[in-house]
Amino acid sequence: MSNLCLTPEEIHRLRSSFFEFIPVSQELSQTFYARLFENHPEVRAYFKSDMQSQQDKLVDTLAVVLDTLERTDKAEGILTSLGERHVNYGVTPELYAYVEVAFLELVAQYAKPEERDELEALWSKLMNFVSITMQKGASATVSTC
Amino acid sequence: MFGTVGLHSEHVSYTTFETKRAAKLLILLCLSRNGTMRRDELADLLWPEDFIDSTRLRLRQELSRLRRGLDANDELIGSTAELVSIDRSLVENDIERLSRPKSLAASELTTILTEPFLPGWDDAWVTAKRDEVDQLRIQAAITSATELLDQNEPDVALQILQACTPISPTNEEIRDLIMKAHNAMGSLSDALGEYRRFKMAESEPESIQNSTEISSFDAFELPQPPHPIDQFFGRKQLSQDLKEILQSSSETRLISLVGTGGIGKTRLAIEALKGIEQNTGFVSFVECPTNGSPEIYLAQALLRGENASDPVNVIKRLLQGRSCVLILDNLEHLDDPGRFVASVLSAVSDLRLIVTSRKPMKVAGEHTIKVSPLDGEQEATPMLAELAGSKRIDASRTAQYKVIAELCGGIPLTLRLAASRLRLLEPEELILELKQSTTLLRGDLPDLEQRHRDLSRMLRLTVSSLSQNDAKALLDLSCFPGGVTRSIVRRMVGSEVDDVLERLLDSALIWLDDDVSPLRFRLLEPIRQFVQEESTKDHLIQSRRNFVDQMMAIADQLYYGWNIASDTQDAIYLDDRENHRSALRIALDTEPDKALFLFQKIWTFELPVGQFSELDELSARLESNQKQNDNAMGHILICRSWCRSTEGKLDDAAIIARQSKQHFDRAGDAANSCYAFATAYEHERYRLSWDEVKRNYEELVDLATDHAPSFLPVLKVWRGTILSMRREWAAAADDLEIGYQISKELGSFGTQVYAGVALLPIDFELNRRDKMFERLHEMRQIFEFFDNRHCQSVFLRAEARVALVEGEMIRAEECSRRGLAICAITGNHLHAVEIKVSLARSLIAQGRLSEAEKVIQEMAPAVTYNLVRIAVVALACKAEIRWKQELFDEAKDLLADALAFRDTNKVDIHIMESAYLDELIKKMDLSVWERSISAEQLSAILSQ
Repeated sequence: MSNLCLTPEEIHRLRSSFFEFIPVSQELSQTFYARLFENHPEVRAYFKSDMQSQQDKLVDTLAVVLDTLERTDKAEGILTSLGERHVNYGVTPELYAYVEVAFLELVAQYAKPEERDELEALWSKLMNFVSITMQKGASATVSTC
Repeated sequence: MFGTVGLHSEHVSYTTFETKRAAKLLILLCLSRNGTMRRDELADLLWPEDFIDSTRLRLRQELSRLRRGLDANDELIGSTAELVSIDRSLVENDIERLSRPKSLAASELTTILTEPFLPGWDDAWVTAKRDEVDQLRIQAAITSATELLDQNEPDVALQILQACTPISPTNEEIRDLIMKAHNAMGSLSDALGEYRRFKMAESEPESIQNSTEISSFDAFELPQPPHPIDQFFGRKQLSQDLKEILQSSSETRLISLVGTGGIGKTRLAIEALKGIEQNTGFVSFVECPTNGSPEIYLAQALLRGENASDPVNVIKRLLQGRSCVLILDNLEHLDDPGRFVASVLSAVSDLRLIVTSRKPMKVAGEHTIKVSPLDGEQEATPMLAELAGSKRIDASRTAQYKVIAELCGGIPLTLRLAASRLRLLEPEELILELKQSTTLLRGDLPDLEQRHRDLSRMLRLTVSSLSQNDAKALLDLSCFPGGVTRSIVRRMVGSEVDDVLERLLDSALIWLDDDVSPLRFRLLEPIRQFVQEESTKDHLIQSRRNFVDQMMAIADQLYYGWNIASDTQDAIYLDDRENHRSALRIALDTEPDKALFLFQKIWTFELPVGQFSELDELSARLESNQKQNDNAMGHILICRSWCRSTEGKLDDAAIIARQSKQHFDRAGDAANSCYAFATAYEHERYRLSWDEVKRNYEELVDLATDHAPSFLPVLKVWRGTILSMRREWAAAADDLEIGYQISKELGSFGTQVYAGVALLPIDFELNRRDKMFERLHEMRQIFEFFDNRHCQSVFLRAEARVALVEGEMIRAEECSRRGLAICAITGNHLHAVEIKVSLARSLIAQGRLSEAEKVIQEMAPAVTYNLVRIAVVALACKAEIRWKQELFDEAKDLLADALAFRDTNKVDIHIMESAYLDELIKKMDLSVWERSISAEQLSAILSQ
């Protein structure tokens, strides 16, 4: 079981920051992928198709995870099955690390200077949880194949 | 003022008023700044078109009606010689309350936000007020919701804000508050969803409306009344009365305008409806057919030619809830207009009908208005002078016009014809002509017959003034009930076409319908009937023969075009459909061989229209003439086979197609034999073993190679589909890619879509996601110009499946609902059942279990449609619902039933749905499913 220890205040903080991002979510997800592909051009091959829908999916998934933070078992269920599906897309463990880094760079870019450290720390915790849980789902799939 | 008009006190409510004007008077007083208005000001607003002198008395009457209705004394409503007033300290109106939203309970405010302001009132002062009221409503919602959010009551705030969104779907302040409310309720997903919905509404206002089945019907624009070509003469009062009946809250739902042909019933109805649509939102106009089922005709007319195989249901879904006023024109042609009108009224509970006919409908609740001729001096004479374009109107000319108007019987159509004669003759010459043609004494005839005779006399005079060639052209044109394009007239009259048409237009015998493209020349129905009744039998037979020949040439051309580019010809056919059907019926009575030719050419176009009972009737009539003709029987039966398959009766369809093949074989028609065989093959492949399917296919390809090579791409697609079901991916992909590319090059979009859709699961299976999305995109582009609803539902079914495997549940739901809306129009039960599986899965994934359960219940007929593969997946969906409800044992039992049925009956499951079954097996940790279950049991479990 992945461990995500967040206080109710921290959950509230994460949600508020996401809520503020909603109006710029499209721009934000675009920048995220641009950054990811810039850092790791080889990753581009995984995303040949409809990038618009890919960007939407990223934001949707984050919203669902944030909605279920009080019930981590639910969040884990969603992320595990997402990880399972990502095996079929050929996603490798390194990619999760790339995504985490690119995402935190994004938070740093968009957060107000006075909130940057706090938000980076909180989103880092969350993205780490997302990454570990998805990889658990992925490894379960690989082991049953 | 919202929804209904009423005055409420602590003890009593007044919501009915003697007249609508009395209610308007009350509203005007309440809305005035200090409760006082001048009499002339009120009269001007209440009767804007009348002279002030005549309105003073009417105002006095309305005032006393209002006082009576409210049991009011002079204290509440006072009046002097100049002023009328209401005591505003005793009355508070809704708009004032709206400006103090904090004093309103949430439920009260929600009601005010959702109810329309003074619905059905078209006065300029009400229309102008509506925008102002909407602004107030938005402001009230914002104030109230902000306060509720501060008080930590986000759910109540959300309820108010959502009630306000239809008023201003793109208001950013409302959007931000809705998002805040969702966030406060712990759902960022909903906040995000709301943001996206607002963005979509900003860029594409209809896109949200299209997202559900019912609202897809709302998006249909109803056919509108034709635009009159000249001004409306006389009958001001009758038109006003009619308008008032329509606007009042009276329960009159059927108004029959009764009168002789040409008397102006249609024009009166159109005039009365002017302005109504600004308030009720919807008016519509349909001219009734001369044959066939009027319900089907009406549904198709409302859908503008689209398919409507369940007409009453389509009529209901198109019109219900719109408070629509529908004009049904020319009902006298129907065998039983009363039955038709009653069935439409009972299907749509908030519909009001204006029908025009020569006789009343004799239906309960009917309000009959007899449309009389125009008054000679007051109405008919000025109309004649205006239409004749007479500049010099002295006393003697007016007297001559008066005589002509009387001789015309005050019938607008007769007057119009007379006016066109006056461009050629002096008034005294026309009077002489008209008098000489009077052979009967007017007093001996009942009024209606007399009027009809007046029209006939004028028509006779007008037609007799035509040259022989023009008269013949008119008779030829009269045979086309659906009107005729210039190019067809040219084929009939040669190079003089424009001169002939101009002369006929000048004589007012034909009119130009410029609402369609290409333009069509039509005859008004009374003129069309007159021309045919008056012609000699030989001439009429000759003209009808000519008509049938012309339609044969058109049908042949269409059919040829269909063979090359298939579905794109459908729209062209629909424009001429009434003519094609009429030609076929005439030919059935007179020239059976031509009827057969027409039938062979048009049934493929009739099929997507879905009017199977008429097709069955026509083919049965044809069959009685052609029993010995094997080629004819082959065509008749193959048409019947496709009718049955679209109804979901695949076994019947296959048997009939086999019979068709036998006839073609006997006739030595190898190409059509191949087509009949292919039809049988397509319909029976679901129940045959793989070996049988393969054997049939090889035989079929051999036949097509020799006799019908153009059919090979379609066969490739069909085989590819089966191979794909058998998981022979490489072979399937080869066949389908060839079918896809060839049909793309030929512009045969239907086949291209079928091939593309069949390739999607292969792309999925072979992990070619880029290819899959590229193909989806390419097909989406096709539908920007290819308006074929059958193909569209096939595509949306596939798109929903892709969305499901991609985990995009909202998209899957949206595609499924759009697909179902289309299936409801086309009557394609097979596609609908398949799409429902995707809808159920998307709902389950979103946790909307009871909605999903309902959808699954509707899928029980899948077993009878021979779609057992869908029934199996539906049962698995039911298992997943139970699993999510934590009824683990029941869930496992249901899944085991589904899998046992699949294995025992060797049911081929679509690869994308097969992956879903595997997922469930894994989730429920199921390893054994040995049990026995019949198709009937399967259907019973689904319907529970």
